[in-house]
Amino acid sequence: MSIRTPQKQPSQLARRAWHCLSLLLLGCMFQSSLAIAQEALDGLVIEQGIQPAGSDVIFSGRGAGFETIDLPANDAEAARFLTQATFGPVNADVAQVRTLGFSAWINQQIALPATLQRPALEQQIAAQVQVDPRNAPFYRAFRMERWFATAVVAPDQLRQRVAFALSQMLVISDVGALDNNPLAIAEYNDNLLRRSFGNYRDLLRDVTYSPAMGAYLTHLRNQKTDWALTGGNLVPGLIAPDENYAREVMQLFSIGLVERNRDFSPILIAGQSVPTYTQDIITFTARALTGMNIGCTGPVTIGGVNIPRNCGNCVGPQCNFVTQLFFSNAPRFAVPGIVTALIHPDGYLPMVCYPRYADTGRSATAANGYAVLPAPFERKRLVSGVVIEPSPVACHTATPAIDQQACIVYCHGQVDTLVNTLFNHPNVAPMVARQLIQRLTTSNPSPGYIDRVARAFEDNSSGVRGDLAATVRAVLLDGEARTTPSANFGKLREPILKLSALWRAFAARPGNSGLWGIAVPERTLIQRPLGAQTVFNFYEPDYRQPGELNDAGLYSPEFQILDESSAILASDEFWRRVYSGYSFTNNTTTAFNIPANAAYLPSETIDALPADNAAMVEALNVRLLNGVMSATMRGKLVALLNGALAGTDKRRKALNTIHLIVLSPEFAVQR
Amino acid sequence: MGRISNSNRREFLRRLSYAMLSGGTASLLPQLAFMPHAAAQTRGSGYRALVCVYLAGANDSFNWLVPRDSQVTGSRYDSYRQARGGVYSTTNTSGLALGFDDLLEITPSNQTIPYGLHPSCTDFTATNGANTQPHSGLRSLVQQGKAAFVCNTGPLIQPTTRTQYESGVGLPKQLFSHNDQELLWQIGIADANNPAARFGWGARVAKQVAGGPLANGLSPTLSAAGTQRFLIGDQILPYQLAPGGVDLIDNYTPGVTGNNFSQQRRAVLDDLLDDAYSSPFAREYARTISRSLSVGESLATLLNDPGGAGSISTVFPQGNTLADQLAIVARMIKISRNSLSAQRQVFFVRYGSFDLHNGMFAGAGAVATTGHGALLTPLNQALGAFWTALGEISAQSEVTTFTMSDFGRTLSGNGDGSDHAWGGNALVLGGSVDGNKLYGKYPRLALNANDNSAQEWSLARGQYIPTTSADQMAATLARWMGVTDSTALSAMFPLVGNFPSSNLGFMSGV
Repeated sequence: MSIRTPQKQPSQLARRAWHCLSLLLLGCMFQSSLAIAQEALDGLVIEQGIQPAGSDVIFSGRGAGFETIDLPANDAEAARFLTQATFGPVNADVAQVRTLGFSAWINQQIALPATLQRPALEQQIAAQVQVDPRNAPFYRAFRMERWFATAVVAPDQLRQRVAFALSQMLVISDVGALDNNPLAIAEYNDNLLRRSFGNYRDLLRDVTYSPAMGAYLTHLRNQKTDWALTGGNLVPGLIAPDENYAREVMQLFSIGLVERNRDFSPILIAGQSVPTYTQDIITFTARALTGMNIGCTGPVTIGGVNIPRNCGNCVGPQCNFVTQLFFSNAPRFAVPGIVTALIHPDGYLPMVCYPRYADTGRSATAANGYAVLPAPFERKRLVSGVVIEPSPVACHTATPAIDQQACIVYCHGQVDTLVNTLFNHPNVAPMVARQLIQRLTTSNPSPGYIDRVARAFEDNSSGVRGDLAATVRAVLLDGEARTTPSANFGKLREPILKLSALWRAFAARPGNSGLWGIAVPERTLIQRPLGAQTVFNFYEPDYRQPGELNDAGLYSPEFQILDESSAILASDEFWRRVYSGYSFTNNTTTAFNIPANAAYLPSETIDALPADNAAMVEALNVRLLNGVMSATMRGKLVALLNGALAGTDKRRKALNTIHLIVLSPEFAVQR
Repeated sequence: MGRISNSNRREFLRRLSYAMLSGGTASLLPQLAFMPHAAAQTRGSGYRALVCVYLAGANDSFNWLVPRDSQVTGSRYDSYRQARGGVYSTTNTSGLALGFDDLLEITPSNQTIPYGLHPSCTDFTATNGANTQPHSGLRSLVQQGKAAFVCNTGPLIQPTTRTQYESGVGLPKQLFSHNDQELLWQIGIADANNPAARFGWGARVAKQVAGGPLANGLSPTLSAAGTQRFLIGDQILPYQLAPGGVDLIDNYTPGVTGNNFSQQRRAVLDDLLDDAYSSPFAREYARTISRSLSVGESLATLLNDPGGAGSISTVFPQGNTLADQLAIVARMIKISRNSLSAQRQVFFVRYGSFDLHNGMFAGAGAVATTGHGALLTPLNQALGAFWTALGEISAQSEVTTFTMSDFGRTLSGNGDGSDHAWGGNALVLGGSVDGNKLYGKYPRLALNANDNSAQEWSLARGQYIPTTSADQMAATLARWMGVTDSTALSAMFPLVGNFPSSNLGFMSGV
């Protein structure tokens, strides 16, 4: 920890102070006077996080913006960049980056169309149900196979990598409520892909309207409290809106728990952090997230499979007032006893509003004319002092046609107001910046690095807030990511990224059946893409491994899933992946046959490695370690090849060495 | 530490934050500097273990233990039923109450009315392949005096009334937030900024009474559910168990020749792990892998011993992830106590998610086994089988099992489920538990309760302000584990002095 004087412009300090006061937070500690807030902000601001690496401001390449290194000096630097920006470096990409430079390569990537998940998965499932329909959870494996195939071979690598990062920030999972809906998860993944270089506001809106997210964090069919007249008094019913998504959209997807400066350090008042919201704001926010369910678009045919969908006789806005539709689930293709994962697209398309069930700040009883509720129940107080007033018209099942559109506009309007309010909160820039940096380049960015990326989020230099393309560029092109890494720079590699790097390094191919054989990666790698155990992802951003890392004040999220059990499971898993298709009955000859149902490292690639032991180790160094293997490690590997493995064939030497490299500390850490 | 007034607390926290910067916490908390380290002083003899069963996502525990006096208007049961919107049925799908006749009656010896357990808490027969075995469920275990509940408990800085809650002062931070409240339970201190909260309470206890790892390197804290703050302590990193046992690395077996150079490969791996690295991440990774290999190999020998040193014959239910975890815990207790001379261990297992914002009930499905019951039945069965296994290895009085959960849930529903609340009911199970009792205070359940004389306070949706702190429950268990020195206990649980007692009394002889 270090103590620094605030580096903010006065206007920003004042903005923070106003922001805090306007919330009338209990957590604006103890007194709510302007003087105290100003005194605290003028005083010491205690930063968390480590000292910035290096202090050479002239040659560090880390200036206030804007002098960045654009051309890699050598293959190793290009490969290092690709480790941060793709699922693993390959020779062709290394050459591209060296020719184009980092920035132009990024532009090229941004221009590539997204390789989507859902459309192909949908066709695949439609084909399967006609041959051998199975119950819905069976199809989870299909999504997993497609995800890995895409990660390994898709050309839009940067977009895929960014979407994977976003999936660990805006978490949804097929563990739990969605284990029978791979298409909805895939469509959610596609939303992330579409917005990876788009705007964070649009992303947050897509996430909020996603029926998959609605099911996961339970705001699907969230109902308002009905106020009714009982004995002459207006009383609320016993049902209150579900608060799950209201909490997590703030805590995890936008503003976090405490007010922060742009460099992510917490704002402190009288030495205490300042909560961004209180429980009552959660309750109000939950009221704004009511009345949503899937829409109704009528029957469809998918891949030759008809799926009926009866929307009744409603037309246009009338359909948003049909009670049955508020309670309807998306139909699936089914045969007696089996309900498949082939769901009607209404099940993954954005939710729509049903105003009868949305909180409009009015009573639910005709007896008092659906009057506006008494204060304070007629309005909803969100963060940032934003207030949603009651609807000007009453919205119930018998709302006349002339008012229906106004009700729909109100219902969608309050959701959009919430999304905009959260998006515009000052915390979002540092929250997104810090997490993207942790996913892509380093677990412990300096406050300056976070601040520069957050600034790019706030303004992409064309006055636009929330531009993720600009933010990602800032993450990858910042001097802190491009210059020689300091000792504390970098991160433990995610297990999935180790596997993808291995497969890409050797141009792995799926088995004869087309399968990669990766249906349940979580069993040995403790990670499942869009399949975490909870909405808190596989690991938490603030996790510090006890011992040396915690003592040094270093965050190390990926260590949270590395332990005695997972370390062994992963090693065994990588052995299977390296040796897939290869077999031996003695210590000299290694046979190869293309496996039926699992990916493999092609024998042509292995056989083309140099015969000379030292040259082979160097070739593997280039493929797996970006060419920066230490001399000590090199010496040990060559000694093994010259010694115990001297009499074996080249394949055996190569496979043994590959696995040792994959297991090594030098491969374990991305720097 | 005695009670602190609001202004003194504010000053204390301000001084503390500066002290943390300068490393001067010992001057503020001299107890920390003098915390006794000689384990022999506080340990006692024999073997004792704590097993924490964490119910993730917040268990709706006011449907686990329910008043069952009568159905007349004004009864405790009637208050419960009304607060929860009536008994759930297919014609009252927004009701969350259990039916009177669905509850399994218990008669705690220190209560004036009967209570009822959720219908999942029955005796049962476990099936695993061709093997079956009957087990007692939680209701029988309560009736036999082996289990008890700690009622309306949760993180508290100090005893808290409704009025004080509304003032916003002196409350645990981030109430109603899953991961924040889980953290407070795991550290056993309702203030995560307290310096003692750096380590989990299970590990603080283990450090005090076990001192450190066993001779073979095995940590005194063990998890079957991944890394947990509860088990991380001063020089203590929990050992991770897998339900199938201890995983041994394939293809790198030391001392095995003629197997694709397994031994030679292992030698190179060991060499690489022993090297010096400039990256602290690389160093930590190397340490973890080394530890996995060495400790794992010594444990695997015992667990897989053909003579049965690490096997138990109790039949656990299959397809039950909590049962899988408790089965390996039972085997580890057996080898730790019998073969490794362990005397004090702390275990952690995890089950869930209980975050039933929807799906508390499932249509016309049987209440015992669907909806909330679909979680409580495997919980009942895992604990029941574990109890039998402990009997098999004569460890029922040496092992105390208890639950923790993020918080209780709102009494009123949201249409088909409940939302986040605060106080809830926790279970303690063991031969040394003074069972068939309720500890703490089970309130008359109502929305918006505000009764200072009865000490019953709840918010608009029946979120109960706890009347027993989670720290008190942890301190009681710590005492049983051997932390009897009052100075050590108050240093370990710095806020417990704000409450009437650090001993809730549910452990016999403590």
